[in-house]
Amino acid sequence: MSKHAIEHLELKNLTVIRSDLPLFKPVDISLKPSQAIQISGTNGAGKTSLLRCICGLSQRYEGSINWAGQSIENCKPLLYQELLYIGHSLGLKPKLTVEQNLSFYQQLRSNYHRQNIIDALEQLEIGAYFDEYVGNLSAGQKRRVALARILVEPVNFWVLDEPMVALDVNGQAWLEKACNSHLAEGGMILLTSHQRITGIHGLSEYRLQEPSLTSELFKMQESA
Amino acid sequence: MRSSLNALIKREISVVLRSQSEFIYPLAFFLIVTSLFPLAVTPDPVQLAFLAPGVIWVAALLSILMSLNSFYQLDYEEGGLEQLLLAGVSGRDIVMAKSIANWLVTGLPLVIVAPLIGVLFDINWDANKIAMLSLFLGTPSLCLIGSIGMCLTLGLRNGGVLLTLLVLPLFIPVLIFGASAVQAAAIGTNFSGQLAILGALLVLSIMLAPFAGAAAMKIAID
Amino acid sequence: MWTWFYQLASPKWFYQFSTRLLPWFRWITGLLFLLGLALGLLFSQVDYQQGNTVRILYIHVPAAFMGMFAYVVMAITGAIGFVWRIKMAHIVSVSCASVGALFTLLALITGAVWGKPTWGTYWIWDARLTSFLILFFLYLGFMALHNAFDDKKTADRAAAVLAIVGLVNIPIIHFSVEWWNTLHQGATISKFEKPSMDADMLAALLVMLAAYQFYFLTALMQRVRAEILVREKLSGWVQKLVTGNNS
Repeated sequence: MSKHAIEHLELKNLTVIRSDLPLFKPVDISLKPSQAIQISGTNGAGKTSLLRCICGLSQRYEGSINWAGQSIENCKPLLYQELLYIGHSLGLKPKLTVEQNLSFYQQLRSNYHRQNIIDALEQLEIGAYFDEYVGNLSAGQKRRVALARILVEPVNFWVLDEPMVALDVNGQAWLEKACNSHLAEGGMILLTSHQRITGIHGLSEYRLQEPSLTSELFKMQESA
Repeated sequence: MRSSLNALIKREISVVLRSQSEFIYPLAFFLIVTSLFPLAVTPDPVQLAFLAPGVIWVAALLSILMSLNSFYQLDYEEGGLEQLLLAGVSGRDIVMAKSIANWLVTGLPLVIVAPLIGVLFDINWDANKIAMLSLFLGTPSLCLIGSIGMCLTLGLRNGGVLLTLLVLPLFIPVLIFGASAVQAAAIGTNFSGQLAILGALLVLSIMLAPFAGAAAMKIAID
Repeated sequence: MWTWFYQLASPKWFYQFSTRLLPWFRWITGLLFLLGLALGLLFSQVDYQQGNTVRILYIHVPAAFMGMFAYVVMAITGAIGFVWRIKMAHIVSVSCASVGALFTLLALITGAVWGKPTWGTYWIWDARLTSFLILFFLYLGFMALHNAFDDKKTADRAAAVLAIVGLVNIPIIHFSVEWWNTLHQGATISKFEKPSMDADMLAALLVMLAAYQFYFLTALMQRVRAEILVREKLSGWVQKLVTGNNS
């Protein structure tokens, strides 16, 4: 637990910029161990863009994103040791089997643990597809394979973009359970979702507000 | 870090080899394009032998250009590239691994079948050997330089045509020295200078292309 | 406040500064061209070998030089923009492309026109002409890549990477083409190499070069100003400027 004590995410006055304009009103969010935050907002509000900025994939932001007290631009290796991002594109190779996909990512982080992968797939009720090509799976099954990474790769900070999409009731229940036990172990979760999530204990919601465009323009005129 | 490079190369190769026959396309393209020249120009063995170095090299260059897409585009669209970056693999290592895999799957077969084209074009055995050697030294540079253009056009709808425009001018030095080495060998003059320059170009590509490719990749993902 | 407010400040400053500078540059360019063309076309001696065709060189040589010069400026400003994320540097870099491409095209056309009486053919795979053809392709690639992106920032950064790669490659391409040319052309000499040049020929050439330089600066400034207006269309000062109630 002491290891996790300094690891926290802090967003200060952060907004995402598209074509020189902010996508949402600047946000101040802080996420500490054992906390979970759901980012919500309308379509196009910038939820995915915000997550990609936090993961260091995009630099189209204004404001600051700090991890363990320093800007993520300066501590990406540190951040990436503890970060798992599962986005709309799952990063799975359809031409490889479920096991090959999962073991590859597992190997990049730590060591190959076949049993670990088998257990994870069993938990997700897709144990039978261990040697199946990912390309042959349904959308929901692919999503489950991608989510299996949260069990296979032991990291602290989960960033999940619309994780409930394409999951059935069982899958959603499993994910909520997994999140709860992750939080109990001192993990941190940042997720986006359209729907209300009730099963994760202590999940706080943060809604992205549309920027008041006219007032921003007015400010620009003032400053120019 | 080196182990991740290895794992990445292995993964790239197994993906391409699983893609049914996709990895055969550049090789088939190479064979078909070269066999068009006797039909288009002349079947006369003397003239064909004169054309051979240029034909082999231009066809090889276009085959490499064609093969780039399958190593980057899907990986970008499926979110594989960003997951690699998030797993702490550097952009340079990704470009390097993909170029090595690309060369092993596309470049190396070209080197191996080049003598076959040489026989069809009636060039002597010495020139054939040098054709193989020059392709061996030159095609890795093409894979590396091509990866820069590929990464620059990743997010674009008509990336393919644009890739050609961006990359072909950069291929010219490799083409000149590669074809010239084969020509020199065919007429029995010294070709070691050309091969040395091809080697130098390869070293330069290995040193610089991964940086440019990685920068371009991050722009595409941003 | 957000830093993009500050980024806006610099293009505005450039726009206002260049408004005062531009008329001067236009006049200087015009005068230098008049002087250079008069010196080159009327008062310089006729080459005893090439006759009056030598006068094309007063157009051709500076155009060729500026074609390369503009590429270097484009790549360096692109690199500055890429590394320090300076918007103005990218704007200058992008604006260089079309002007530089035109210089290169002019060099190619005048080279071909010069080649007809000299070599008896419009096009010859001369080392220099070939290099300029490739340079022209590099410009085309840069402009095509920049246009291909919807987002200006992405376009700027991607094009900058390409320009830098091109800059590293230009000497290599030039060297390989020179080498290829000597291998294949044998005795044919490139007559663009200056033989011994008269003082008045040199003077005309230098004045023309200065004229081209000022033309480049003027055209670049115009393009940069247009680009600024397009990119800053949301900011207050541009809207004031366009709607006309400029105080």
